[in-house]
Amino acid sequence: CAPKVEDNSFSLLTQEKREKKLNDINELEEFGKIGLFSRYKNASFSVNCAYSYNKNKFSLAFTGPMGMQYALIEVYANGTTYINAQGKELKGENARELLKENFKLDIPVEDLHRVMIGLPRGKVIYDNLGYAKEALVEDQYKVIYRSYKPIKEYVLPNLLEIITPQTKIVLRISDITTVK
Amino acid sequence: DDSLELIKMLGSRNSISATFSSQTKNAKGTVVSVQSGSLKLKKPSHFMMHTMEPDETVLYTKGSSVVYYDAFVNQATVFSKKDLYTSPFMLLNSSDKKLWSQYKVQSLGKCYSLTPLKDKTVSKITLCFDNSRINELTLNMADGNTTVYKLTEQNSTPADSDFSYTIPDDAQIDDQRK
Repeated sequence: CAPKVEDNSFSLLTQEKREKKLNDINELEEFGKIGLFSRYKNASFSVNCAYSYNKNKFSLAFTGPMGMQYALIEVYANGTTYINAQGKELKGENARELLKENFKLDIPVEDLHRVMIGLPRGKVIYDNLGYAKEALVEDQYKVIYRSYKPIKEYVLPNLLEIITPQTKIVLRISDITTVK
Repeated sequence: DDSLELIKMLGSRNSISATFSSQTKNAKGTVVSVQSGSLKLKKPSHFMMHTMEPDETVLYTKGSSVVYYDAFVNQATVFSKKDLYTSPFMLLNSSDKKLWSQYKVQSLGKCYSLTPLKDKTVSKITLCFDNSRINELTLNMADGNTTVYKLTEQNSTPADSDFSYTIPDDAQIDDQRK
């Protein structure tokens, strides 16, 4: 089914102009919840997550119900830093592997910014309003966009799923605090 | 140390029934989470924290256990109560000197600061009172995050039924009790 879209001036732009506008975002900060639905019994979990992007790096922080930071992954052009709940810092080249190994969460971290702004890689299916509905990236993962939300002069995804061979991830954004 | 004074202050009320709103900021001051719901406590050990926004989670005591139900993934995790007594809210229910001895308590006028002596994840808890009612609880985490809980609408007394919750039949149950 087509993702639910709420409108603003962004929706009047052509596809090309929308993509340029989204790619020109210099700063994005939003938070919500991420849930991992494992096919193994009792292995599902959800945590609060905060996504932060600027031109030099993006990061995803996972916090518990009372605010404790469970993990933070920061992706730079030349590498990735993962900080665990005890504050220990791990460095690596492959952001996806680093997160999967240390936090048991398999998401396409290297493509995360494109996923978060609704410009996913891969074979993309669009809805009748020109918003990405689904994207399939070879046999690695699939993104399904369930809902978009207008914020200032943008329209950004606020409910999406990332399906990998082992897991289904649901990411719901409850608040976009900065987009410029 | 001002723990006896605080325990006496907390002892003046047998229960709490409040609406809470909370906001978590990271070390840079960026908001990373906002939540709201209801908080109920009743001595000696009844506890119910029902978060409704933006997602439903329920943390409550049930006999000698504590249950955490997460509606987002429809999964309940069961702990034994003794494992979770370090949670700040559970502390408010207790007058156990052994438990309170794990904190250095300092009176700050209308507030009290509690510095955990063992727990390495929380660096400080601050409890603020309006007369004998707690109206704000602040958690400074060791990782630099800070969560502030504001308690309002504290005019009623919780009923026993306020401390039970029915988990959906199709929920997964993850029993962590040893």
